[in-house]
Amino acid sequence: MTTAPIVEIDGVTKRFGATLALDAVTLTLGSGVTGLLGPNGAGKTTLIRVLSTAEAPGSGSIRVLGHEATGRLAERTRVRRLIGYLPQEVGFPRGMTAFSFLDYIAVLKEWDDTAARHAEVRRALGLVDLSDRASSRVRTLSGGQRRRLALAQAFIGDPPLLILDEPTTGLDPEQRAGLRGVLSERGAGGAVLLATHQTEDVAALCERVVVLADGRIRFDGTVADLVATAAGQVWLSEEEVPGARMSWRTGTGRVRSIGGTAGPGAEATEPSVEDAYLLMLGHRPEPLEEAA
Amino acid sequence: MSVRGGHADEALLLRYRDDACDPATAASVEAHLPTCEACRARLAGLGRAPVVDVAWGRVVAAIGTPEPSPAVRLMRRMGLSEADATLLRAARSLDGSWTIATIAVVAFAALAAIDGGSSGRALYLLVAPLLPVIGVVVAFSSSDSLADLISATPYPKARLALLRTAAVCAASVPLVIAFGAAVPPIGWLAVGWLMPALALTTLTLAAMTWIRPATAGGAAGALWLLIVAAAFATDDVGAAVASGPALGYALVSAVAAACLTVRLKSAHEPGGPR
Repeated sequence: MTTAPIVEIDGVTKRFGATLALDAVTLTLGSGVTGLLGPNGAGKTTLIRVLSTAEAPGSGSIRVLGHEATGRLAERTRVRRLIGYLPQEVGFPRGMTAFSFLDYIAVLKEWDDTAARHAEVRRALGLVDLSDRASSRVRTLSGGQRRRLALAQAFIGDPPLLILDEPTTGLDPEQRAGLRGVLSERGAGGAVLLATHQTEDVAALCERVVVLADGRIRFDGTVADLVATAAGQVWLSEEEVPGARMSWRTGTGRVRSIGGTAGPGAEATEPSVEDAYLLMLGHRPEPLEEAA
Repeated sequence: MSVRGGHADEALLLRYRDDACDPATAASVEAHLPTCEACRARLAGLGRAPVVDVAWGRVVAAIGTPEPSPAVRLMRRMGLSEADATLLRAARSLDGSWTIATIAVVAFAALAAIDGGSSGRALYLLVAPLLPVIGVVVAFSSSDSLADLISATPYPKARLALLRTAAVCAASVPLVIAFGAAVPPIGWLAVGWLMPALALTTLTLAAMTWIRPATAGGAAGALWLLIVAAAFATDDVGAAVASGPALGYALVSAVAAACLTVRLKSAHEPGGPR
Protein backbone atom coordinates (compact mmCIF):
# COMPACT_ATOMS: atom_id res chain seq x y z
CA MET A 1 0.00 0.00 0.00
CA THR A 2 1.55 3.29 -1.05
CA THR A 3 0.34 6.29 0.91
CA ALA A 4 1.61 9.59 2.24
CA PRO A 5 4.08 8.96 5.05
CA ILE A 6 2.68 8.87 8.56
CA VAL A 7 6.08 8.37 10.16
CA GLU A 8 9.43 9.65 8.91
CA ILE A 9 12.46 8.43 10.86
CA ASP A 10 15.66 10.01 9.65
CA GLY A 11 19.14 8.97 10.77
CA VAL A 12 18.16 8.06 14.32
CA THR A 13 21.03 6.92 16.48
CA LYS A 14 20.87 5.86 20.11
CA ARG A 15 23.74 4.74 22.27
CA PHE A 16 23.67 3.19 25.75
CA GLY A 17 27.20 3.51 27.10
CA ALA A 18 29.40 1.50 24.77
CA THR A 19 26.45 -0.18 23.05
CA LEU A 20 25.17 1.31 19.84
CA ALA A 21 21.49 0.32 20.00
CA LEU A 22 20.40 2.22 16.87
CA ASP A 23 22.83 3.15 14.12
CA ALA A 24 21.51 5.87 11.80
CA VAL A 25 18.15 4.21 11.24
CA THR A 26 16.11 5.76 8.44
CA LEU A 27 12.59 4.49 7.85
CA THR A 28 9.29 5.76 6.48
CA LEU A 29 5.92 4.28 7.36
CA GLY A 30 2.66 4.82 5.53
CA SER A 31 -0.67 3.24 6.35
CA GLY A 32 -0.73 -0.52 6.76
CA VAL A 33 0.77 -3.01 9.14
CA THR A 34 4.58 -3.18 9.19
CA GLY A 35 6.33 -6.01 11.00
CA LEU A 36 9.58 -5.24 12.80
CA LEU A 37 11.66 -8.38 13.13
CA GLY A 38 15.02 -8.85 14.74
CA PRO A 39 16.86 -10.98 17.28
CA ASN A 40 17.11 -9.98 20.93
CA GLY A 41 19.43 -7.00 21.23
CA ALA A 42 18.83 -5.89 17.64
CA GLY A 43 17.41 -2.54 18.75
CA LYS A 44 13.70 -3.21 18.16
CA THR A 45 12.58 -2.11 21.60
CA THR A 46 14.84 0.94 21.48
CA LEU A 47 13.39 1.96 18.12
CA ILE A 48 9.87 1.45 19.46
CA ARG A 49 10.60 3.48 22.59
CA VAL A 50 12.23 6.29 20.67
CA LEU A 51 9.35 6.43 18.20
CA SER A 52 6.82 6.48 21.04
CA THR A 53 8.70 9.43 22.66
CA ALA A 54 9.35 7.37 25.81
CA GLU A 55 13.09 7.63 25.05
CA ALA A 56 14.93 10.51 23.43
CA PRO A 57 17.21 9.62 20.49
CA GLY A 58 20.88 10.57 20.62
CA SER A 59 20.64 12.14 17.17
CA GLY A 60 18.40 12.15 14.13
CA SER A 61 14.80 13.20 13.73
CA ILE A 62 11.35 11.60 13.83
CA ARG A 63 8.24 13.16 12.34
CA VAL A 64 4.71 11.86 12.81
CA LEU A 65 2.16 13.35 10.44
CA GLY A 66 4.41 16.38 10.10
CA HIS A 67 5.02 16.90 13.82
CA GLU A 68 8.50 16.61 15.30
CA ALA A 69 8.62 13.83 17.88
CA THR A 70 12.13 14.98 18.72
CA GLY A 71 11.22 18.66 18.86
CA ARG A 72 9.88 21.00 21.52
CA LEU A 73 7.42 19.84 24.15
CA ALA A 74 4.41 21.24 22.29
CA GLU A 75 5.39 19.27 19.19
CA ARG A 76 6.10 16.15 21.22
CA THR A 77 2.68 16.49 22.83
CA ARG A 78 1.04 16.72 19.39
CA VAL A 79 2.84 13.53 18.41
CA ARG A 80 1.68 11.82 21.60
CA ARG A 81 -1.91 12.59 20.68
CA LEU A 82 -1.38 10.65 17.46
CA ILE A 83 0.05 7.44 18.87
CA GLY A 84 -1.13 4.37 20.68
CA TYR A 85 1.80 2.63 22.35
CA LEU A 86 2.09 -0.85 23.79
CA PRO A 87 5.40 -1.35 25.66
CA GLN A 88 6.98 -4.76 25.86
CA GLU A 89 6.04 -4.99 29.52
CA VAL A 90 3.15 -3.28 31.21
CA GLY A 91 2.82 -3.39 34.97
CA PHE A 92 -0.64 -2.70 36.28
CA PRO A 93 -1.21 -0.57 39.37
CA ARG A 94 -2.35 -2.67 42.28
CA GLY A 95 -6.02 -3.18 42.97
CA MET A 96 -7.22 -1.85 39.63
CA THR A 97 -9.98 -3.38 37.57
CA ALA A 98 -9.74 -3.76 33.80
CA PHE A 99 -12.09 -0.81 33.42
CA SER A 100 -10.32 1.47 35.90
CA PHE A 101 -6.95 0.78 34.29
CA LEU A 102 -8.20 1.86 30.87
CA ASP A 103 -10.06 4.77 32.48
CA TYR A 104 -6.76 5.90 34.01
CA ILE A 105 -4.91 5.74 30.69
CA ALA A 106 -7.80 7.52 28.97
CA VAL A 107 -7.44 10.43 31.40
CA LEU A 108 -3.74 10.57 30.53
CA LYS A 109 -4.83 10.68 26.88
CA GLU A 110 -6.83 13.80 27.69
CA TRP A 111 -10.31 12.29 27.67
CA ASP A 112 -11.70 14.72 30.22
CA ASP A 113 -15.42 14.23 29.66
CA THR A 114 -16.43 11.36 31.92
CA ALA A 115 -19.31 9.97 29.83
CA ALA A 116 -17.33 10.11 26.57
CA ARG A 117 -14.30 8.58 28.27
CA HIS A 118 -16.27 5.71 29.74
CA ALA A 119 -17.86 5.03 26.34
CA GLU A 120 -14.37 4.97 24.78
CA VAL A 121 -13.11 2.60 27.48
CA ARG A 122 -16.02 0.25 26.79
CA ARG A 123 -15.24 0.40 23.07
CA ALA A 124 -11.57 -0.45 23.70
CA LEU A 125 -12.54 -3.34 25.98
CA GLY A 126 -14.87 -4.61 23.26
CA LEU A 127 -12.09 -4.50 20.66
CA VAL A 128 -10.01 -6.94 22.68
CA ASP A 129 -13.02 -9.03 23.71
CA LEU A 130 -12.84 -8.15 27.39
CA SER A 131 -16.21 -6.42 27.82
CA ASP A 132 -17.36 -9.13 30.20
CA ARG A 133 -14.26 -8.64 32.41
CA ALA A 134 -14.63 -4.88 32.87
CA SER A 135 -15.19 -5.18 36.62
CA SER A 136 -12.56 -7.89 37.15
CA ARG A 137 -9.43 -7.01 39.07
CA VAL A 138 -6.39 -7.15 36.81
CA ARG A 139 -4.67 -9.67 39.08
CA THR A 140 -7.51 -12.13 38.46
CA LEU A 141 -7.07 -11.99 34.67
CA SER A 142 -5.05 -14.61 32.82
CA GLY A 143 -1.75 -13.67 31.16
CA GLY A 144 -3.42 -13.48 27.75
CA GLN A 145 -6.23 -11.32 29.09
CA ARG A 146 -3.72 -8.94 30.69
CA ARG A 147 -1.87 -8.65 27.43
CA ARG A 148 -5.12 -7.87 25.63
CA LEU A 149 -5.95 -5.30 28.29
CA ALA A 150 -2.54 -3.69 27.83
CA LEU A 151 -3.20 -3.62 24.11
CA ALA A 152 -6.66 -2.10 24.60
CA GLN A 153 -5.14 1.07 26.08
CA ALA A 154 -3.25 1.62 22.81
CA PHE A 155 -6.58 1.63 20.95
CA ILE A 156 -8.08 4.42 23.08
CA GLY A 157 -8.88 7.35 20.83
CA ASP A 158 -8.29 5.27 17.69
CA PRO A 159 -4.88 6.90 17.01
CA PRO A 160 -3.48 6.96 13.46
CA LEU A 161 -0.20 5.39 14.59
CA LEU A 162 -0.03 2.22 16.67
CA ILE A 163 3.37 1.20 18.02
CA LEU A 164 3.16 -2.27 19.46
CA ASP A 165 5.98 -4.21 21.09
CA GLU A 166 5.27 -7.94 21.12
CA PRO A 167 1.46 -7.60 21.23
CA THR A 168 0.74 -11.31 20.77
CA THR A 169 2.96 -12.63 23.56
CA GLY A 170 0.97 -14.96 25.80
CA LEU A 171 -2.07 -15.16 23.52
CA ASP A 172 -3.50 -18.49 22.41
CA PRO A 173 -3.96 -19.14 18.66
CA GLU A 174 -7.63 -18.11 18.68
CA GLN A 175 -6.87 -14.86 20.50
CA ARG A 176 -4.00 -14.16 18.12
CA ALA A 177 -6.26 -14.68 15.14
CA GLY A 178 -8.83 -12.32 16.67
CA LEU A 179 -6.15 -9.75 17.33
CA ARG A 180 -4.89 -9.97 13.76
CA GLY A 181 -8.38 -9.02 12.61
CA VAL A 182 -8.41 -5.96 14.87
CA LEU A 183 -4.91 -4.87 13.81
CA SER A 184 -5.58 -5.30 10.10
CA GLU A 185 -8.62 -3.03 10.48
CA ARG A 186 -6.43 -0.43 12.19
CA GLY A 187 -3.85 -0.80 9.45
CA ALA A 188 -6.46 0.07 6.82
CA GLY A 189 -6.71 3.64 8.09
CA GLY A 190 -3.41 4.26 9.84
CA ALA A 191 0.07 2.92 10.43
CA VAL A 192 0.74 -0.05 12.68
CA LEU A 193 4.32 -0.90 13.62
CA LEU A 194 4.48 -4.34 15.13
CA ALA A 195 7.71 -5.49 16.79
CA THR A 196 7.58 -9.22 17.18
CA HIS A 197 9.44 -12.50 17.31
CA GLN A 198 6.41 -14.27 15.81
CA THR A 199 7.18 -14.66 12.13
CA GLU A 200 3.77 -16.28 11.60
CA ASP A 201 2.15 -13.02 12.73
CA VAL A 202 4.23 -11.15 10.18
CA ALA A 203 3.28 -13.64 7.46
CA ALA A 204 -0.41 -13.46 8.32
CA LEU A 205 -0.78 -9.76 8.97
CA CYS A 206 1.94 -7.51 7.55
CA GLU A 207 2.26 -6.08 4.08
CA ARG A 208 5.74 -4.91 4.84
CA VAL A 209 8.54 -6.20 7.00
CA VAL A 210 11.63 -4.50 8.38
CA VAL A 211 14.46 -6.64 9.74
CA LEU A 212 16.69 -4.95 12.29
CA ALA A 213 20.03 -6.40 13.38
CA ASP A 214 22.80 -4.76 15.40
CA GLY A 215 20.89 -1.47 15.34
CA ARG A 216 20.76 -1.33 11.55
CA ILE A 217 18.06 -2.10 9.01
CA ARG A 218 19.00 -5.29 7.23
CA PHE A 219 15.87 -5.62 5.12
CA ASP A 220 12.93 -3.39 4.27
CA GLY A 221 10.35 -4.64 1.81
CA THR A 222 7.23 -6.70 1.33
CA VAL A 223 6.78 -10.01 3.05
CA ALA A 224 6.82 -11.69 -0.37
CA ASP A 225 10.17 -10.06 -1.14
CA LEU A 226 11.60 -11.30 2.15
CA VAL A 227 10.41 -14.82 1.43
CA ALA A 228 11.86 -14.58 -2.08
CA THR A 229 15.35 -14.01 -0.65
CA ALA A 230 15.26 -17.63 0.55
CA ALA A 231 13.95 -19.15 -2.69
CA GLY A 232 16.00 -22.18 -3.69
CA GLN A 233 17.81 -22.27 -0.35
CA VAL A 234 15.43 -24.38 1.73
CA TRP A 235 15.63 -28.15 1.38
CA LEU A 236 13.85 -31.26 2.51
CA SER A 237 16.02 -34.36 2.62
CA GLU A 238 16.78 -37.48 4.60
CA GLU A 239 19.94 -35.91 6.10
CA GLU A 240 21.14 -32.34 6.61
CA VAL A 241 22.41 -30.84 3.36
CA PRO A 242 26.09 -29.77 3.19
CA GLY A 243 26.75 -26.24 4.44
CA ALA A 244 23.27 -25.74 5.91
CA ARG A 245 23.06 -22.78 8.25
CA MET A 246 20.31 -24.41 10.24
CA SER A 247 18.46 -27.70 10.06
CA TRP A 248 16.00 -29.76 12.04
CA ARG A 249 14.09 -33.01 11.63
CA THR A 250 10.41 -32.30 11.00
CA GLY A 251 7.39 -34.30 12.11
CA THR A 252 7.42 -36.21 8.81
CA GLY A 253 10.88 -37.55 9.64
CA ARG A 254 12.59 -35.54 6.91
CA VAL A 255 15.22 -32.88 7.61
CA ARG A 256 14.48 -29.28 6.72
CA SER A 257 17.70 -27.41 5.94
CA ILE A 258 18.10 -23.69 5.44
CA GLY A 259 20.99 -22.61 3.25
CA GLY A 260 23.72 -24.91 1.99
CA THR A 261 23.71 -26.88 -1.21
CA ALA A 262 21.43 -29.65 -2.30
CA GLY A 263 22.77 -33.09 -1.43
CA PRO A 264 21.63 -36.45 -2.80
CA GLY A 265 17.84 -36.79 -2.56
CA ALA A 266 17.32 -33.22 -1.37
CA GLU A 267 14.44 -31.33 -2.89
CA ALA A 268 13.90 -27.60 -2.77
CA THR A 269 10.82 -26.56 -0.86
CA GLU A 270 8.77 -23.38 -0.48
CA PRO A 271 10.48 -21.09 2.06
CA SER A 272 8.54 -19.47 4.89
CA VAL A 273 9.01 -16.01 6.41
CA GLU A 274 10.89 -17.68 9.24
CA ASP A 275 13.23 -19.47 6.83
CA ALA A 276 14.03 -16.22 5.07
CA TYR A 277 14.49 -14.37 8.36
CA LEU A 278 16.83 -17.02 9.78
CA LEU A 279 18.78 -17.17 6.54
CA MET A 280 19.17 -13.41 6.52
CA LEU A 281 20.50 -13.30 10.07
CA GLY A 282 22.67 -16.36 9.74
CA HIS A 283 22.95 -19.08 12.32
CA ARG A 284 24.38 -17.71 15.51
CA PRO A 285 23.49 -17.95 19.16
CA GLU A 286 21.36 -15.08 20.39
CA PRO A 287 22.38 -13.03 23.41
CA LEU A 288 20.33 -13.83 26.47
CA GLU A 289 19.27 -10.27 27.13
CA GLU A 290 18.11 -7.39 25.00
CA ALA A 291 20.76 -4.69 25.00
CA ALA A 292 18.16 -1.99 25.49
CA MET B 1 -42.60 -15.03 25.05
CA SER B 2 -42.87 -16.35 21.51
CA VAL B 3 -39.64 -18.13 20.93
CA ARG B 4 -38.39 -20.10 17.93
CA GLY B 5 -35.19 -22.04 18.61
CA GLY B 6 -34.40 -19.94 21.69
CA HIS B 7 -34.87 -16.56 19.96
CA ALA B 8 -37.59 -13.93 20.13
CA ASP B 9 -39.81 -14.09 17.03
CA GLU B 10 -40.41 -11.10 14.78
CA ALA B 11 -43.92 -10.38 16.04
CA LEU B 12 -42.64 -10.19 19.58
CA LEU B 13 -39.73 -7.99 18.60
CA LEU B 14 -42.11 -5.67 16.74
CA ARG B 15 -44.36 -5.40 19.79
CA TYR B 16 -41.31 -4.79 21.94
CA ARG B 17 -40.07 -2.12 19.55
CA ASP B 18 -43.45 -0.40 19.72
CA ASP B 19 -43.56 -0.66 23.51
CA ALA B 20 -46.70 -2.79 23.19
CA CYS B 21 -45.61 -5.71 25.38
CA ASP B 22 -46.95 -6.26 28.87
CA PRO B 23 -44.34 -5.61 31.55
CA ALA B 24 -43.56 -9.30 32.17
CA THR B 25 -43.01 -9.99 28.45
CA ALA B 26 -40.92 -6.83 28.05
CA ALA B 27 -38.81 -7.92 31.01
CA SER B 28 -38.29 -11.34 29.37
CA VAL B 29 -37.17 -9.70 26.13
CA GLU B 30 -34.84 -7.39 28.03
CA ALA B 31 -33.35 -10.34 29.90
CA HIS B 32 -32.81 -12.17 26.60
CA LEU B 33 -31.38 -9.34 24.48
CA PRO B 34 -28.07 -8.80 26.33
CA THR B 35 -27.22 -12.48 25.83
CA CYS B 36 -28.31 -12.81 22.19
CA GLU B 37 -26.48 -10.96 19.47
CA ALA B 38 -28.80 -12.36 16.76
CA CYS B 39 -31.93 -10.95 18.39
CA ARG B 40 -30.26 -7.62 18.99
CA ALA B 41 -29.30 -7.48 15.34
CA ARG B 42 -32.86 -8.38 14.25
CA LEU B 43 -34.31 -5.78 16.57
CA ALA B 44 -31.90 -3.22 15.14
CA GLY B 45 -33.02 -4.29 11.65
CA LEU B 46 -36.62 -3.55 12.55
CA GLY B 47 -35.69 0.06 13.10
CA ARG B 48 -35.85 0.73 16.78
CA ALA B 49 -37.65 3.81 17.97
CA PRO B 50 -35.19 6.52 19.08
CA VAL B 51 -36.40 6.26 22.66
CA VAL B 52 -35.35 2.59 22.67
CA ASP B 53 -31.93 3.52 21.32
CA VAL B 54 -31.47 6.00 24.12
CA ALA B 55 -32.67 3.55 26.74
CA TRP B 56 -30.46 0.80 25.29
CA GLY B 57 -27.45 3.11 25.36
CA ARG B 58 -28.15 3.82 29.00
CA VAL B 59 -28.45 0.12 29.79
CA VAL B 60 -25.16 -0.63 28.04
CA ALA B 61 -23.44 2.27 29.80
CA ALA B 62 -24.83 1.21 33.18
CA ILE B 63 -23.87 -2.43 32.76
CA GLY B 64 -20.48 -1.76 31.19
CA THR B 65 -19.32 0.96 33.59
CA PRO B 66 -18.34 -0.30 37.03
CA GLU B 67 -18.78 1.90 40.09
CA PRO B 68 -15.72 4.04 40.91
CA SER B 69 -13.47 2.58 43.61
CA PRO B 70 -13.83 3.73 47.25
CA ALA B 71 -10.50 5.60 46.92
CA VAL B 72 -11.80 7.58 43.95
CA ARG B 73 -15.10 8.29 45.73
CA LEU B 74 -13.19 9.50 48.81
CA MET B 75 -11.00 11.82 46.74
CA ARG B 76 -14.08 13.19 44.98
CA ARG B 77 -15.67 13.93 48.34
CA MET B 78 -12.48 15.81 49.25
CA GLY B 79 -13.11 18.08 46.30
CA LEU B 80 -10.90 16.58 43.58
CA SER B 81 -12.23 16.42 40.05
CA GLU B 82 -13.20 13.02 38.71
CA ALA B 83 -10.24 12.99 36.29
CA ASP B 84 -7.71 13.99 38.99
CA ALA B 85 -9.07 11.35 41.37
CA THR B 86 -8.77 8.76 38.61
CA LEU B 87 -5.12 9.75 38.06
CA LEU B 88 -4.20 9.67 41.72
CA ARG B 89 -5.91 6.33 42.20
CA ALA B 90 -3.02 4.74 40.28
CA ALA B 91 -0.12 6.52 41.98
CA ARG B 92 2.05 3.89 43.60
CA SER B 93 3.23 6.22 46.34
CA LEU B 94 -0.37 6.67 47.45
CA ASP B 95 -1.43 3.07 47.75
CA GLY B 96 -2.03 1.25 51.01
CA SER B 97 1.39 -0.34 51.32
CA TRP B 98 3.09 3.03 50.92
CA THR B 99 0.92 4.52 53.67
CA ILE B 100 1.68 1.58 55.97
CA ALA B 101 5.42 1.95 55.27
CA THR B 102 5.21 5.69 56.01
CA ILE B 103 3.43 5.06 59.29
CA ALA B 104 6.00 2.42 60.26
CA VAL B 105 9.01 4.64 59.50
CA VAL B 106 7.57 7.72 61.21
CA ALA B 107 6.45 5.71 64.21
CA PHE B 108 9.93 4.23 64.55
CA ALA B 109 11.61 7.64 64.23
CA ALA B 110 9.20 9.27 66.71
CA LEU B 111 9.52 6.44 69.23
CA ALA B 112 13.31 6.70 69.04
CA ALA B 113 12.97 10.25 70.36
CA ILE B 114 10.76 9.30 73.27
CA ASP B 115 13.65 9.23 75.79
CA GLY B 116 14.51 12.83 74.94
CA GLY B 117 17.99 12.00 73.62
CA SER B 118 19.41 14.14 70.81
CA SER B 119 20.08 11.09 68.63
CA GLY B 120 16.37 10.20 68.64
CA ARG B 121 15.37 13.77 67.80
CA ALA B 122 18.00 13.81 65.05
CA LEU B 123 16.56 10.61 63.58
CA TYR B 124 13.08 12.12 63.53
CA LEU B 125 14.41 15.29 61.91
CA LEU B 126 16.36 13.25 59.37
CA VAL B 127 13.41 11.07 58.37
CA ALA B 128 10.56 13.60 58.38
CA PRO B 129 11.47 15.81 55.37
CA LEU B 130 12.69 12.83 53.35
CA LEU B 131 9.32 11.04 53.30
CA PRO B 132 7.74 13.49 50.86
CA VAL B 133 10.96 13.41 48.81
CA ILE B 134 10.88 9.61 48.64
CA GLY B 135 7.20 9.71 47.75
CA VAL B 136 7.89 12.03 44.85
CA VAL B 137 10.82 9.92 43.65
CA VAL B 138 8.72 6.76 43.79
CA ALA B 139 5.92 8.48 41.91
CA PHE B 140 8.29 9.31 39.05
CA SER B 141 10.80 6.50 39.27
CA SER B 142 11.60 4.71 36.04
CA SER B 143 10.89 1.53 37.95
CA ASP B 144 7.28 2.70 37.98
CA SER B 145 5.71 -0.13 36.04
CA LEU B 146 3.81 2.29 33.86
CA ALA B 147 6.50 4.96 33.44
CA ASP B 148 7.09 4.11 29.77
CA LEU B 149 3.43 4.18 28.95
CA ILE B 150 2.74 7.36 30.86
CA SER B 151 5.64 9.23 29.31
CA ALA B 152 4.18 8.54 25.85
CA THR B 153 0.79 10.08 26.68
CA PRO B 154 -0.02 13.73 25.97
CA TYR B 155 -1.12 14.55 29.53
CA PRO B 156 0.95 17.55 30.78
CA LYS B 157 3.68 15.99 32.87
CA ALA B 158 4.16 19.23 34.81
CA ARG B 159 0.58 19.04 36.01
CA LEU B 160 0.96 15.36 36.77
CA ALA B 161 4.13 16.17 38.73
CA LEU B 162 2.43 18.81 40.83
CA LEU B 163 -0.68 16.72 41.33
CA ARG B 164 1.32 13.74 42.52
CA THR B 165 3.55 15.88 44.70
CA ALA B 166 0.58 17.54 46.36
CA ALA B 167 -1.04 14.15 46.92
CA VAL B 168 2.15 12.63 48.35
CA CYS B 169 2.51 15.57 50.74
CA ALA B 170 -1.17 15.44 51.70
CA ALA B 171 -0.76 11.77 52.53
CA SER B 172 2.50 11.97 54.50
CA VAL B 173 2.77 15.43 56.10
CA PRO B 174 -0.17 15.09 58.56
CA LEU B 175 1.14 11.70 59.64
CA VAL B 176 4.63 12.99 60.36
CA ILE B 177 3.30 16.02 62.25
CA ALA B 178 0.86 13.87 64.25
CA PHE B 179 3.55 11.41 65.33
CA GLY B 180 5.94 14.25 66.17
CA ALA B 181 3.31 16.07 68.23
CA ALA B 182 2.50 12.87 70.11
CA VAL B 183 6.09 12.53 71.39
CA PRO B 184 6.81 15.50 73.72
CA PRO B 185 10.64 15.50 73.44
CA ILE B 186 10.32 16.21 69.71
CA GLY B 187 8.72 19.52 70.56
CA TRP B 188 8.67 22.17 67.86
CA LEU B 189 10.67 19.93 65.53
CA ALA B 190 7.28 18.31 64.79
CA VAL B 191 6.64 21.27 62.46
CA GLY B 192 10.20 22.59 62.14
CA TRP B 193 10.95 20.07 59.40
CA LEU B 194 8.32 21.49 57.05
CA MET B 195 10.52 24.21 55.55
CA PRO B 196 13.45 21.89 54.72
CA ALA B 197 10.91 19.40 53.37
CA LEU B 198 9.60 22.05 50.99
CA ALA B 199 13.14 22.93 49.91
CA LEU B 200 14.23 19.32 49.42
CA THR B 201 11.06 18.32 47.54
CA THR B 202 11.20 21.32 45.21
CA LEU B 203 14.92 20.81 44.70
CA THR B 204 14.35 17.13 43.87
CA LEU B 205 11.59 17.96 41.39
CA ALA B 206 13.78 20.55 39.68
CA ALA B 207 16.75 18.16 39.58
CA MET B 208 14.52 15.45 38.10
CA THR B 209 14.22 17.53 34.92
CA TRP B 210 17.97 16.90 34.39
CA ILE B 211 18.74 13.62 36.09
CA ARG B 212 16.89 10.44 36.96
CA PRO B 213 14.44 10.59 39.89
CA ALA B 214 16.40 8.18 42.11
CA THR B 215 19.62 10.15 41.58
CA ALA B 216 17.88 13.44 42.34
CA GLY B 217 16.25 12.02 45.46
CA GLY B 218 19.52 10.42 46.57
CA ALA B 219 21.38 13.72 46.22
CA ALA B 220 18.69 15.58 48.18
CA GLY B 221 18.80 12.88 50.87
CA ALA B 222 22.60 13.07 51.12
CA LEU B 223 22.46 16.85 51.41
CA TRP B 224 19.92 16.66 54.23
CA LEU B 225 21.93 13.96 55.98
CA LEU B 226 24.96 16.28 55.99
CA ILE B 227 22.94 19.17 57.41
CA VAL B 228 21.40 17.08 60.20
CA ALA B 229 24.76 15.43 60.96
CA ALA B 230 26.42 18.84 61.24
CA ALA B 231 23.72 20.03 63.66
CA PHE B 232 23.96 16.79 65.62
CA ALA B 233 27.73 17.25 65.93
CA THR B 234 27.17 20.59 67.67
CA ASP B 235 24.77 18.86 70.07
CA ASP B 236 21.97 21.14 68.92
CA VAL B 237 19.77 19.24 66.44
CA GLY B 238 17.28 22.09 66.33
CA ALA B 239 19.94 24.33 64.77
CA ALA B 240 19.30 22.56 61.46
CA VAL B 241 15.85 24.12 61.31
CA ALA B 242 16.39 27.34 63.29
CA SER B 243 15.22 30.64 61.86
CA GLY B 244 18.49 31.33 60.02
CA PRO B 245 18.61 28.05 58.11
CA ALA B 246 14.84 28.26 57.61
CA LEU B 247 15.34 31.46 55.61
CA GLY B 248 17.90 29.59 53.54
CA TYR B 249 15.40 26.77 52.91
CA ALA B 250 12.81 29.33 51.84
CA LEU B 251 15.31 30.85 49.44
CA VAL B 252 16.31 27.44 48.05
CA SER B 253 12.59 26.56 47.63
CA ALA B 254 11.95 29.78 45.70
CA VAL B 255 14.97 29.33 43.43
CA ALA B 256 14.19 25.63 42.83
CA ALA B 257 10.53 26.44 42.08
CA ALA B 258 11.57 29.14 39.60
CA CYS B 259 14.04 26.76 38.02
CA LEU B 260 11.40 24.03 37.81
CA THR B 261 8.96 26.41 36.16
CA VAL B 262 11.51 27.44 33.55
CA ARG B 263 12.51 23.84 32.87
CA LEU B 264 8.90 22.68 32.53
CA LYS B 265 8.14 25.50 30.12
CA SER B 266 11.12 24.55 28.00
CA ALA B 267 10.00 20.96 27.47
CA HIS B 268 11.79 19.12 30.25
CA GLU B 269 9.67 16.71 32.23
CA PRO B 270 10.48 15.18 35.63
CA GLY B 271 11.23 11.55 34.89
CA GLY B 272 10.75 12.25 31.18
CA PRO B 273 12.78 11.03 28.20
CA ARG B 274 16.55 11.35 28.54
